[in-house]
Amino acid sequence: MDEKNLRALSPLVLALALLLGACAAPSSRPTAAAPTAPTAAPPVAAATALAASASTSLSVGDTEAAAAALERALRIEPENPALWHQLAQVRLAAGEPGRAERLAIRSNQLAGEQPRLVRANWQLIAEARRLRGDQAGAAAARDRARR
Amino acid sequence: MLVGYGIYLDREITSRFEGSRWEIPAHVYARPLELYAGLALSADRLQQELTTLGYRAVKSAGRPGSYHRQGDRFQLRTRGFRFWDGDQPSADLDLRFSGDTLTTLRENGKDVVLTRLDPYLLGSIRLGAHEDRVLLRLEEVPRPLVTALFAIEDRNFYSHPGIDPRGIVRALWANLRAGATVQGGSTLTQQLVKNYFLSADRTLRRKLVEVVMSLLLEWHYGKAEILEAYLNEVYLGQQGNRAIHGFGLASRFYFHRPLAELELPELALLAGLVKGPSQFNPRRHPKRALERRNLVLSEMARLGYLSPADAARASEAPLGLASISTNDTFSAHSAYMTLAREQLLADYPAESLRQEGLRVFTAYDPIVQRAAEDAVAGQLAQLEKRRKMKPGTLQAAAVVLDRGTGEVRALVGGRDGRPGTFNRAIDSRRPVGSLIKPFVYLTALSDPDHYTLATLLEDTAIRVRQAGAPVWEPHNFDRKFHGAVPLAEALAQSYNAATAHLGMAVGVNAVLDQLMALGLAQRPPAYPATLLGSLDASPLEMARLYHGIASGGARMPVKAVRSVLTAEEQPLSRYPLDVETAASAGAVFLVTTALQHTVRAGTGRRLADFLPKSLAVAGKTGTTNDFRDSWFAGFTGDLLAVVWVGRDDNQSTGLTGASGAMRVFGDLMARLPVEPLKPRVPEGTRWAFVDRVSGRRSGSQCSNVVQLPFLAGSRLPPAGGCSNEGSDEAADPADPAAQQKPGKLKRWMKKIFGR
Repeated sequence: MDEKNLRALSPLVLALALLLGACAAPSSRPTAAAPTAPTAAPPVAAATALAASASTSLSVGDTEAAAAALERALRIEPENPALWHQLAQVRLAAGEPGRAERLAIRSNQLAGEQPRLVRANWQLIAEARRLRGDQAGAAAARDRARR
Repeated sequence: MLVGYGIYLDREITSRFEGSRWEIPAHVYARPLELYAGLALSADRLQQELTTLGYRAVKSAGRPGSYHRQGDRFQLRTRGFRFWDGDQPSADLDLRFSGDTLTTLRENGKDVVLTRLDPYLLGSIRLGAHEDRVLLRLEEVPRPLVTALFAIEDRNFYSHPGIDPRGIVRALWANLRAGATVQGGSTLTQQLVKNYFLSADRTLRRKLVEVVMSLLLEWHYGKAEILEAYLNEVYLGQQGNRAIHGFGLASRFYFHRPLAELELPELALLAGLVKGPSQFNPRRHPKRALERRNLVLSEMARLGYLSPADAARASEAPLGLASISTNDTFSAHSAYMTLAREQLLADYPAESLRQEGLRVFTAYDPIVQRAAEDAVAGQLAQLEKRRKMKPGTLQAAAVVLDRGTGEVRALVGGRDGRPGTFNRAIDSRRPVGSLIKPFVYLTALSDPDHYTLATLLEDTAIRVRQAGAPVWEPHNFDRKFHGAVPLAEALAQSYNAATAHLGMAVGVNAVLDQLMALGLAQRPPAYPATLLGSLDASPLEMARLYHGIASGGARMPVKAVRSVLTAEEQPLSRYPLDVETAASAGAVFLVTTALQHTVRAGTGRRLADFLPKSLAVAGKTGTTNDFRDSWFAGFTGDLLAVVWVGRDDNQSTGLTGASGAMRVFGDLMARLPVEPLKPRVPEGTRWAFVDRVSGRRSGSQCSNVVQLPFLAGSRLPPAGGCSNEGSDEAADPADPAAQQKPGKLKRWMKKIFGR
């Protein structure tokens, strides 16, 4: 996937991911300790607005502004896996595949049972590894994405 | 010859005027307060922030930097500010609170989801003796300040050629009449030249050079340029080795507000300072400063710049100085500033930080900082009083990180926050004692085939011989051995012998590998004693290691600085969020649960004196030999803090981690609207009630049981603990909700009804 396709895709993935984050969260932590069983907080509107502004910045190629907006969103909602995923996308677009992969892994750690987001992260990891010339690693990640 | 000297002087003065005109140190800002519906922020907390920012309470908010509060409703006009990511113009905000939550947010009459206040200016980077200023353009300077300066210093500024013979004669006459120096004869231009080449030298030759340069300056440049330079250059105060130059900084220094927001009496006070910033220092000589201010006001009225009535009214006003309190811009925060400076020095040469006027944005949170400072001050004073220690015996340090991002939100380097004092949070490396233990357990639990929270550890005598060292023979705090102990219980009770056995089984080097992965700066030698914390680390370093646990096994840069703008407000650099997996998420989850158990039922149980159990704080106490160091590290849903309490002379404090540092931690968190900790449960985790003594699976309502998680694929402990008399024993171990609640209820009923 070249950078242009990635950008075209990103608002879509974002919308999807935020939606998933909103509705899949309750089932993502079914075994949380009973006394503090978390009721899934809906995504904070402020974080969603910042994510949207990051998408706009990314679509015009301003990756630093996009990253700054997403970091601001993550300070408000540090455990929202969709935000980490989107930041990984921004880093990939900025030509930082190593950091992109680390951020996608973080997103997956927080994603719990959100299969579509997990898959999107593995796809992103595969692309990041391909860009770094790690063909075997990329294939392994694509495998995970298909699971 | 004389012409040659004249040319030399001309070059000197013009290059000084035009060249890199001002040295401005990097200015450091706090985080801006983000405002959005749903934010955990009380109305009082907002008021505290506004006071810190120097916003003024008024009847109806009109000017930038003012607010009006009516119970749970705030109307305010923000100051415009240029952020890293763009300009934010001044706006009218209407905020409503309900309890501890910001519920609605309107900006310029429209509902918005997010906005932010201008950030608090923490101060400037200090690198030795230096000048400091906040630059102003002439059009930003309030008119009354300029007329006040004309009235008191240089009546003929717009008509003289740089020197003012009439002024000199008038000053001489006034001084003769008064029998003392009440007026100076120097023009603003001369004063500017004098400030450029500040020297104590008062020879006639010096005076002549000054006159020549003043004439040259006026010949080359317009009045407006000279006046603007003067307003930014004139010396107006001193704080330690920091010289306060210009009215922009003086306004912040004396009033904590931007110059544009000052009123007539405040402007007159500043104008009066020019004559002698130390002689009329309003903090040291308030009476003298008040007289001087009122002289300025009456001169303004006499010369027609003011109506006599306005002058009289302004003369009634108090000085209105901002205090130099513990929370003062220019006296405290030095601990945090040191951290920011160190981070910046890794990327910028010292000269850039001293001169180029960089604007540095940090994660510093004034609300959290205040809570940390107050907790340290309050608890240390109480401890000294209760234990009959001489006041000032104890010292402390505290580091508060954001759990989500690893940013440093507050830093306390000691009881005295003044610049130049020893920064114990960064520079003091002390033995960490039991604070290291969770990392031994983390290393073991990363091997889920062999270790679970219910694995029985040997809490028995242990002797380790090593070449060139005395035999290592750790004992427990209570001088007893407890035999076979479940792993979670050994950590919660901080048993030394059990931990030593565990550490030797997994290997000292494996534990050190884990610590290095999480960010320990230097690999300590692989001595068995390291397993029980005979290694030295700073509170900041311990905070970094604990953040690895708090974040679920991720290592993030522990940073103070977020971004840097140039003096021209152009983005220069950002310190991006990054993250690296540094520990097994499953093992981290188990350790976190054990640390919650530590606070609920182990060495940290007295934290309940400060915080409700529903916060489910995870934490660990640490005490070193002879009670020299008292440590506590813990985290809630949003904040992580590490606290150290001890003595600078390294003598015994008589305090354990629980009786010293943990009290500071509890007090600190109790002052903030912290979120409960809800660690993310890995998929496939099962839960079981385990007997705290035998480690066997037990009924939910037996006494002395703890509910523990078991990772997918790891074995549940053997059955055989006590069994319930009730009927819910067969409940699905994957569903704690089905077990805990009836169990609790039954236990409670048992207590009440005795069966």
